[in-house]
Amino acid sequence: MAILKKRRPPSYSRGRNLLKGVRFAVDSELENVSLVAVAVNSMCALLGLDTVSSGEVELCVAEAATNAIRHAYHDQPGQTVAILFSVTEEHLQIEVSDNGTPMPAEQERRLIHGTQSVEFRKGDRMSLAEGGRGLQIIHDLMDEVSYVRGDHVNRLRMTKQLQTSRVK
Amino acid sequence: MRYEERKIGDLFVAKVMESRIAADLAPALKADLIEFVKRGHRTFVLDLSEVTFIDSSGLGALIASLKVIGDGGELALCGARENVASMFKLTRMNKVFRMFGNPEEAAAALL
Repeated sequence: MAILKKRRPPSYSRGRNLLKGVRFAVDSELENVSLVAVAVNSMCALLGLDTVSSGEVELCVAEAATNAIRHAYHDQPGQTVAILFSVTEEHLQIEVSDNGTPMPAEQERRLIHGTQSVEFRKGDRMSLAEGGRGLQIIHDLMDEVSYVRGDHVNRLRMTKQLQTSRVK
Repeated sequence: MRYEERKIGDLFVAKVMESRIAADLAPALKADLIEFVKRGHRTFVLDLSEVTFIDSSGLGALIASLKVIGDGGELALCGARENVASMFKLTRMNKVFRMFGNPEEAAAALL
């Protein structure tokens, strides 16, 4: 299940360094999330995505990988978080997969549909939630998001539409 | 985490000397900020000018600290770069934290 939102796509250089698919994996430790996120940002930059879009993709990958480690693997190291990065003329797609506990249905709804719930009342600091924003961020920044829970693998797929017009 | 600490008048300013505030460092940030509050800094400034990336966990650490401070003080932010500032706008936390261009601007507003 996925939704497509209308956002102005980032531009990148047509036909330049198209990637059919780059797959890499890290151990399920939070220290590794930055490695993954920075690597993805670098690939985006290499493809010619503008700085803002590359940063948004980096943030989404960091949120997805952190979620996998914290919630699918319950902060247990020794498990695998896999990243599949691919690009076509039309879009950039990143899949973050794990072999842990699937995302609860309520979280999946927040990821796919977002939430309109007001997180805080103005002037009331104590009503501020300290967590739970990662999925909403992915929802807000990506054009299409899907989540598939399999028998042994969960796949969070994030897609950003591209506008093949100019180099950053 | 590493900080560069200074005072502008009576205002305590802590400059974060890490480039990334992500899930691995967020607990340390939260603990450090709470320690600043325990040292008596009910209103202080966190300089984010060296920070190039912050995720929702980092944001959560800032929010936790703000809640510890309570209504009698302020955790103000300054120097946020474009992508860091974007994160605050995206999550509407720019409505919660007072954000300034630099420590001097923060001091002028808070002192």
